[in-house]
Amino acid sequence: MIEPASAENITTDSLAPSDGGQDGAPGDSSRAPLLELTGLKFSYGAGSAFQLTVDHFAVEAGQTVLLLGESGTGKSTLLNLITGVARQQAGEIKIVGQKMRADKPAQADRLRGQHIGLIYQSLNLLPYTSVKQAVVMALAFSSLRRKRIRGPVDQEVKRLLNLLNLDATALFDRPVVALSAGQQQRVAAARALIGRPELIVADEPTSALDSKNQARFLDLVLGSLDRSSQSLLMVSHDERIAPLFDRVVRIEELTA
Amino acid sequence: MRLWALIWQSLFSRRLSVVLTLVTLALSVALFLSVTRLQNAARNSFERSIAGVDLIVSARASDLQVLLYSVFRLGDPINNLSWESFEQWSADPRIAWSVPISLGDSHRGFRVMGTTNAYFDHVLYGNNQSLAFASGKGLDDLFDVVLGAGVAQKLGYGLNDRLVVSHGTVSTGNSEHDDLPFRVSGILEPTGTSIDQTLLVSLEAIEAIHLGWQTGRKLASGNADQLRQAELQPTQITAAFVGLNNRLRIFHVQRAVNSYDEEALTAVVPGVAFARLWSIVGVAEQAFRAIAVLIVVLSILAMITMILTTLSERRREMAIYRSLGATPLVIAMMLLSEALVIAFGGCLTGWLFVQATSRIGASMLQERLGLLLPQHWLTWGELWVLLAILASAGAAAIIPAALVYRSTLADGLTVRS
Ligand SMILES: Nc1ncnc2c1ncn2[C@@H]1O[C@H](COP(=O)(O)OP(=O)(O)OP(=O)(O)O)[C@@H](O)[C@H]1O
Ligand SMILES: [Mg+2]
Repeated sequence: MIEPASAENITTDSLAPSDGGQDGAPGDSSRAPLLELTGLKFSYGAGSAFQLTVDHFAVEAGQTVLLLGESGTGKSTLLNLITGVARQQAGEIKIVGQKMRADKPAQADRLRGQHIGLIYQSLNLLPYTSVKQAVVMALAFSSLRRKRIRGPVDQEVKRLLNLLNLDATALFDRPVVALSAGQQQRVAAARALIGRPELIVADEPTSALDSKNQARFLDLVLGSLDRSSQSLLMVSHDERIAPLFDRVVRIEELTA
Repeated sequence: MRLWALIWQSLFSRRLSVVLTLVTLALSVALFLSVTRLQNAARNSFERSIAGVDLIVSARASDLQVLLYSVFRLGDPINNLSWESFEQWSADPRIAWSVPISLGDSHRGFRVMGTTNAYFDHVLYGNNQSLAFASGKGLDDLFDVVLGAGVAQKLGYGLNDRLVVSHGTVSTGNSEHDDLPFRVSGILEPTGTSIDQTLLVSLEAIEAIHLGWQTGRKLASGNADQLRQAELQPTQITAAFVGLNNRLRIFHVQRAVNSYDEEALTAVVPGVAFARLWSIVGVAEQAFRAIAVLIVVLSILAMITMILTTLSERRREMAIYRSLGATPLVIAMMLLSEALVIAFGGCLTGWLFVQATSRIGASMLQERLGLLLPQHWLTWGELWVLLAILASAGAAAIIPAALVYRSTLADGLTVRS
C-alpha cells in the first residue's frame, strides 16, 4: 500500500523539528527521547479534587516502561494526556519531537494516529469486523503507518498475528466475536503494532484476562515489539509483571 | 484499508436498517418521478393535441366544454352548429380555412369523427406537425374511413379492411349496422394525441349512417350504392376548426362570432381554453406534487432518524476510530458519506424502478389513455430534483455529524460498550 504522501501526512511530518529524528537512529547521542513530559499540570476542573502534576517524565526509543499505581491515582488520566485526549492546564508533551496539543483536537488525533498504537482494557474491537479488518483498521487513518508496511498488507497482518501466537490462516477472516477474550486482546495488540508506530500505549490490557493468559499476553506483546524503534508504555497495578520491563515507574514517584 | 472500506463495513453491519431506509427513499423518489413524469406526459399530450387552429367554433357552450369535446372527444356537445352558419362564417373574408367536424358515432369503443379531407391539411398537432399517413390516403369514397394509429393497432385493422360504424357512442351489438361496411382507406402515423383513438369518415358518411338508422330498416348491401347517389348534405355539425388570414385579429373575430345574430355561437381560442383548463387541473397537479415532495422529505427524515438512533450504539465505533487517529472532521465526513451513499442508492434505485416500470407502463398508457409517456433517461429538471435530494440528505446528515463531532470530543478515548 505504497502511495504518495497525503495531505494529513504532510502536515504532521513537516511539523517535525529537525532535532526530533523520526527515524530515531540508534546511537545518535543527541537525539531527544521518544516521549517527554515537562511541567505537566492537570485537573478535571472545579468539581474534582484530583490533581496530576508531573515535572518530568521521558520514555526513550525502544524502551519498555511499566507504570505502576493504585486505582484512582491517575494512571489512565496520564495516558489520556499523553495520547492527546485530555488537555493539560500547563506543561508540554512531546512525542517524536512534536508537541501533542489536545487543544487542537484534529492535530492531536493525527499525531496519535501516526505514532501511537493504543490497547485498552477491553472493548478494543468492533463486533462486526473480521480479524483482518480489525487489524488493518489502524491503517485507514494513518498514511505513515500504511507506508511503513513493505510488501502486501495481508502478509504483514499474518506475520503479526503469528507473532502473537494467533493462527493467522485459520482466524484471518473469522469475526472477532468468535474469538476468546485473550485472543481478542491479541488482535487488538496486532492492530496497535501494525505499521510500527513508535509508541505502544496499553492501559491495563490484561485485566480482563485470567492470570495464565495475562503472562502469555505480555510475553507475546513484548516479543512482537520491534525493539529498535518501538517503545511500550504500559499501565498496571500488578507488581508481579515488573521484571518483564526495561524500566518500572511508580506514579507516586512521577507526581511527587 | 481505506475509509470507504470502513464506511462500507459499518453500513454492512447495519444492513437491515440501511436497506429499509434506502428502500423507503427509493420508493419516494420513484413516486416523485412518476408523478412528475405522468403530469408532464398528460400536459404534453393535451397541449400537443391541437395546433395551427386559431378558433374553434361551435354552438353556445363554455370554453372548456368546447375544448373537451372538440379536441379530446370527451363528453358530448349539447347543441350542434347549423350547416348554414358554418357556410356563412366559412365565407367570411377574415377566415382562411375552416374544417367541420361531426361527432357522436362510435366503432367498438372508439370515437368516429366526420370531417373533410381539409382536416389532414390544416389541423396540426404537436409542434405544428401535420398528420401523416402511415399507409393509404384520405377520404375519397363515401364509405372510406381513416384510422388513428391506436385504433388500427388495437383492433388489428389493415388497409382495405372492412368495418362497421354504429350510431351513438356506446358500442352495443344490436345497434351495429352490419350492412354499412366501411373500407379502411388510410392509417395515420401515431401522434400521441386523441386522433390516435379516432376513426375519421366524411361528413356525408355520418349522414348516411344516420339515414340508415332513422329509417329503421336494414339496408341491403346493394343500397350502399343508392346511398352514394343520395342527397347527403349535412344539416348540422358539432364544431368547426378555423384558421384566420391574420392571426392578430383572433379576438376580433372571436367577438364577432360570439355576437352572431342568427345562431348562438361560441368561438374558442384554444390557447386561452387550455390555460383555463390548466388553472383548474393545476390545483390537483400541485397537490399531487406537494404530496410527492412531502414523501421525499419524510423519507429523508427517516434516514436521519436511522442515523441518529444508531449513533448511540456506535459510540464505541467512533471512540475506536478516534483512538486510531480519526479526526472529528474525518468522522463527520464518514457520517456524511454514509448519508450520501444511502441517498444516492435510494435515488438510483428509485430511478431504475421508474425507468423499468415506465418501459412496461408506457404501452399500456398509450393504449388506454392515448398518453405518450416520454421515454427519456433523466431530464435536467429531474436531475436537479435528485441532486436536491442528495444535497438535503447531506445537509441533514450534518446534524448527526455535528453531534458525533461533539460527543467524540467529550467522550475522549473512553470506550463504552
Ligand atoms: N472524567 C473525569 N472527571 C472527573 N474526574 C475524573 C474523571 N476521570 C477520572 N477522574 C478522577 O481522576 C482520578 C484518576 O482517575 P484515573 O482513571 O486516571 O485513575 P487510574 O489510576 O487509571 O485508576 P484505575 O487503576 O482504577 O484505572 C480519580 O480520582 C477519578 O475519580
Ligand atoms: Mg485506569
